[in-house]
Amino acid sequence: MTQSNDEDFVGSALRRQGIALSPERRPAVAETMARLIATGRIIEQRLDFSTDIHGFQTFLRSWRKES
Amino acid sequence: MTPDDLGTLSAFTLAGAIRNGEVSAEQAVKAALSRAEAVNPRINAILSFDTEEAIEAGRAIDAGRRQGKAPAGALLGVPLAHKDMFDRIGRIATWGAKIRAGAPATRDATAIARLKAAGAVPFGALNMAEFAFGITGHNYQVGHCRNPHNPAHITGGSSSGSAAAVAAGVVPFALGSDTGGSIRFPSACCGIAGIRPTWGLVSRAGAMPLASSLDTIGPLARDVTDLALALSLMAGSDPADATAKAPAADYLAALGKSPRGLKIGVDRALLDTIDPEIAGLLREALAVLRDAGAVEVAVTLPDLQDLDRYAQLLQFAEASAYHARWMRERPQDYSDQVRTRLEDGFAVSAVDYIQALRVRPLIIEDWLSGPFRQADVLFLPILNRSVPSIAETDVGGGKSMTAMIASLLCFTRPLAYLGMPCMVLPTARDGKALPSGFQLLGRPYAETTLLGIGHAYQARVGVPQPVHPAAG
Repeated sequence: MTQSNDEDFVGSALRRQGIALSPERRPAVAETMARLIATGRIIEQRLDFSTDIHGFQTFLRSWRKES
Repeated sequence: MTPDDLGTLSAFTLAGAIRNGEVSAEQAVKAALSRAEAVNPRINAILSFDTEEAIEAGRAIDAGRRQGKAPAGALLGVPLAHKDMFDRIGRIATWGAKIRAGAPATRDATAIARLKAAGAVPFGALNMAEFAFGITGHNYQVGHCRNPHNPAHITGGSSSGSAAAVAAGVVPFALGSDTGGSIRFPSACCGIAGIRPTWGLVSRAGAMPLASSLDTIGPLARDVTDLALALSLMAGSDPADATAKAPAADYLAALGKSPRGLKIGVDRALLDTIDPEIAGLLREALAVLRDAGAVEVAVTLPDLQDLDRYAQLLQFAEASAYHARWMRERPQDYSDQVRTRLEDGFAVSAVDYIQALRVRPLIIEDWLSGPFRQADVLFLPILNRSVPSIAETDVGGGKSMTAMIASLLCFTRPLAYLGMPCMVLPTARDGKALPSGFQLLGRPYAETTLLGIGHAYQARVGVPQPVHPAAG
């Protein structure tokens, strides 16, 4: 997405949540989101259908049993 | 003993003295009040006092002794101060904000209840970053907390009052919380010890949520013995918190064990990225750990910036969800910085948030099969520079805010994503006479290992003594 598209997305996402975001803040939020979403894309490469949303808790508890 | 003398004692020693009748519980409470009155105008660490209730509770303990009841309780008569984010019966915790109202709590937070059950006497509620969403100790709603070592400098946050009150000798230990560094960063800035337990070890029931999948509750103290004592009392399963499932261990018993042969992993390249003077203090601390018998091994840590972004996806989305209603209805009641940071979370997509949750066990496995294969604990910096002043970090919600926060959190927030236990210990002071610290990261539930090393470290460098804040 272009920067302008990112800002439009951010504006509409916050509007849907009922949050008023000043036009001056849109570029900063869009920049943060672009950075984090890029990370999300990297994350996806490591995932398959077996990686569960609750895997973190399952992992910690299994570690407790092992230690 | 004078109030100042009592202020130098650990909770462990003070409770023992009260049990033995060497010190009365009323004396202990009044000493803490006296100390608080002397220092609070300079550091703004305590938001509210429970003066009458605390004195009354102390007198009740002493009356029980006179009536021949066997005094018991690992924290008998020890004044208890906590970050103002824990429920207590009949009270409304401020959460460091002006937006809180409504009905008083009908029960104590589990952590508070467990400390009270051990004889601790609630004494006061402590300053904190607004909604625990700040790393410096600034609070535009209730006033900034100030560092006892130099009131012109930050305490760190968000457990700002907890660190300042302990460092100034008001109380031997205090309760805090750590989502992205909120126990570890202020502990280092104020020159004390602190521990972020394994996620889920200590119940969060009755504590203000910031980002549930990162939130932990833990103690800050001058003496590592008090960290072990408080954790022994607070840890363990709780029916009121579905995430608190782990059984507690005897953390005090771990303190006498020698760290001889324990492998401490150090990524020396990381030390080269920080201020040389602070890096020098960390190398001195490492030498102390080696002198205690630990063995330093070289490790290469995975990218901390990636980890920080995963943590941000979770923290931003979860915090914004908690605050959604107030952000719609009362945005003007937030400070600029907190409102600005919460705005970010509303733009995180559900898919990206869930991916950050799903990948978490894989990332932890990377650490366990990587650096933790070579080392038992990992040594990392906390501060990348000297503790900054309040003025230079007073950026509000302005454009430099994001970079400033990211710089201060660069070593703490990434580790929060791992959910593993992490202890902070103070180094020697820097050339400006300001404290600093380092963190030791352990494998899941390795609190006993961390506390054992911490105890050995303090056996060599000493326990920090209370500091007397100069006039600001």
